[in-house]
Amino acid sequence: MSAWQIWKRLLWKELREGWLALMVANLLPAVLFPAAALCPRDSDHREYLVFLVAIGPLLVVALYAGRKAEGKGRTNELAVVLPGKRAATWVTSLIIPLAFTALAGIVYGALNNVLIFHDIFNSRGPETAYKLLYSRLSLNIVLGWSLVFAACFSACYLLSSAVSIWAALAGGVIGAVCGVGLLNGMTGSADGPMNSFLDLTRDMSGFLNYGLAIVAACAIGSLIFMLLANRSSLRVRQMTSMGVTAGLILMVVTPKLFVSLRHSSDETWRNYPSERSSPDGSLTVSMSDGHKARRGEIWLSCRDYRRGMSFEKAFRPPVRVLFAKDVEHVYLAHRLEDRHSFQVFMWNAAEDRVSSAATVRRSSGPPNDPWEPESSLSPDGHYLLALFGSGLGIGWDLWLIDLRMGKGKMIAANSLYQLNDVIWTRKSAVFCWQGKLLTIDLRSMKGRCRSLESEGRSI
Amino acid sequence: MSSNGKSAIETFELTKRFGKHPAVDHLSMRVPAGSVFAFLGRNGAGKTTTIRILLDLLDRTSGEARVLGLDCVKNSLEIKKRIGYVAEGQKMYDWMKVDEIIWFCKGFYPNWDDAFAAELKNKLELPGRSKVGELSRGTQAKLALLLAMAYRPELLILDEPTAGLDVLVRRDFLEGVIEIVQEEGRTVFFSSHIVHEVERVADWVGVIDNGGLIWCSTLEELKSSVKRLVLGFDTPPSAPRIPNMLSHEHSGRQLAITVRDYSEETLAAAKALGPKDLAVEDLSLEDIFVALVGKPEEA
Repeated sequence: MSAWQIWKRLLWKELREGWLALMVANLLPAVLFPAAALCPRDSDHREYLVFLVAIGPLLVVALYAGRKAEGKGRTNELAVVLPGKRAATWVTSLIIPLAFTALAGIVYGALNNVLIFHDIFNSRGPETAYKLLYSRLSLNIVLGWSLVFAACFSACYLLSSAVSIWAALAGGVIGAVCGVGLLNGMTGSADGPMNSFLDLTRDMSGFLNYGLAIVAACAIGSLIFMLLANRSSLRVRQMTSMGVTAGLILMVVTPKLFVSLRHSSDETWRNYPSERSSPDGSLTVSMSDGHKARRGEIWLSCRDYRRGMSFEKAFRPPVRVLFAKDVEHVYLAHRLEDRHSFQVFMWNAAEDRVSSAATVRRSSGPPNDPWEPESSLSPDGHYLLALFGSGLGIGWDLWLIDLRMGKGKMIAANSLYQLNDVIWTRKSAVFCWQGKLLTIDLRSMKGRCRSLESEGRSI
Repeated sequence: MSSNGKSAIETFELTKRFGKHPAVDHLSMRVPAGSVFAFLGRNGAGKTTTIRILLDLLDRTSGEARVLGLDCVKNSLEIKKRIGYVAEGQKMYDWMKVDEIIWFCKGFYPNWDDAFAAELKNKLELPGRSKVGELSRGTQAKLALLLAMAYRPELLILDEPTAGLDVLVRRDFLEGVIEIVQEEGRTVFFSSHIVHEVERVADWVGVIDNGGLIWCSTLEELKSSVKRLVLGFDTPPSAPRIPNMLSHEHSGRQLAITVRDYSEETLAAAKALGPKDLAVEDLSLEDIFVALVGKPEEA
């Protein structure tokens, strides 16, 4: 009887015991939380290092735990008396589902790439989109997710084998509270629920968060497993693998529970003193959280040099000045409670009146960044072109806001740093950026990107 | 007994300690090839620990153990291919059907005999399309037996295989095992604490107590060695002294003394106590077992 006959049977057993179904279940987060698929593109090889550092000891301890388990309670199992090599049993019971889980991560990463591709294709054209798609960055995203999934699974598997119920309960609670709820970057607020999770390029705190997040996810997975599973081996392993799904879902869901906790403090949203001027220079709007501001307030001062008058009003942060046309038309953006939407409103400083103009949904980024670029208002005051932070690490999201209809649409995703001399016509807005000519049709609210270089050649 | 001088199992000074407690204590034992060897002992005497060491499911602390002439640790895989093992309440895969689990196990054994497996399946009346989890405990035990025998193992190790089964199923199971194995002249090594059942099938007996082997011989030798002397007195002695005495019991004017290594010397010593009458009785294996594992008395 060849070794393949044994492997074939062990593989068959593992498959029959439900790994395929579990692999599909592991993809649930991608379906349930499409927003979570938007992860940063600035990932690097440190992700692999984390995985390698984590997986080595995990495997050693897992093998030890398995050996101990065999010695204690598993001697009656058929598998341990069959004349197959112990490694074969372990490989199929650990590595095969590990591979499936990693495959689930690849699919998840690929879905993420599709979303990115779609955005880039629309905003920067097919050439850039395909370049990105076949770049190391795309590969990193796919591999990164794959490794995250695999690492989560491994650790869950380990905990289920080696930790007692009470230890797992304690660890799960601590992990859930500390790991997910209170760590920086795990609140699901500024950059979207999963973004900080994978962003390792900023500093070591992100790196640390990453490792702790995995631990937290594993602890939560174990917690779920310990609460629900009975101790038969099949159930143990199935529920353990479900811990990955549970962990990822909880990583997305539980931060929401902590948002209010973390952001109840006034210090959470910092307000940077900044100043914006109207295009003709007759008006400046400055922002201050200084002497007059009470806790939880920010003051906007509007200085009309033509009339020699000043107006002031307290706003509740986070608020950002988008555009100052004149003293009657100061456009502001206020981040809404869901932290992924802005309310664009108009402040008529002269009459001390504030009215809603539009709502911008599904955007992120800091609410009041002093480096946030200028916006551009169409001469008739109908449209506003504004850049909102994407949180994805490359550029800003370009939004066209129809101030009369009260709606906005994202034209380009995280691709721009500034708006250069927008030319407004009755039907379109046109401007150049890094050798590209971007034309936005105002009626359809769609953008088209063309390369100036190719235009030149064609001429 | 069909011992041919070869050993199926040999242990020498085999010891296993859990912390300071010795579960198996310097156990030296030889199981002749071709025998049906009953390994008897109370619960916790060390039977299962010994078997697990033989199967390399448990590390030994010291000593040697050889199965089919091979070291049980170095040649664990080879040994598993050549022996069959059925444990008490052995967990099989509940979700598999009987035919599926037969196919599954078949892959692990080079000598798997399909025809023999089919024959066993018929003989043991196993339903091929039923799931293992739906079978009764008795039928599951029979299935375990089929899986352990279909590749014609040279040695069949049964660890309390009938524990938890009702009387009829136990008898059916044991007789099935013996019938099948004796046809082929193979070795059966089985542990049990249900002694009266063993008597019907075993030809060799080993008795383990507190981790140590206190008896190992053929069943006939054991029975001829351990006897009960029933002595009648007007006034029986309160503390009789007889060589190799295992126990004594007063009953009215009678004194019953159980001895091991019964011989003419024992009989002479009994007569020296001055009984009015004296009878030598054979004991059942159960009585012998009770006498052996009870606390021995000073001679």
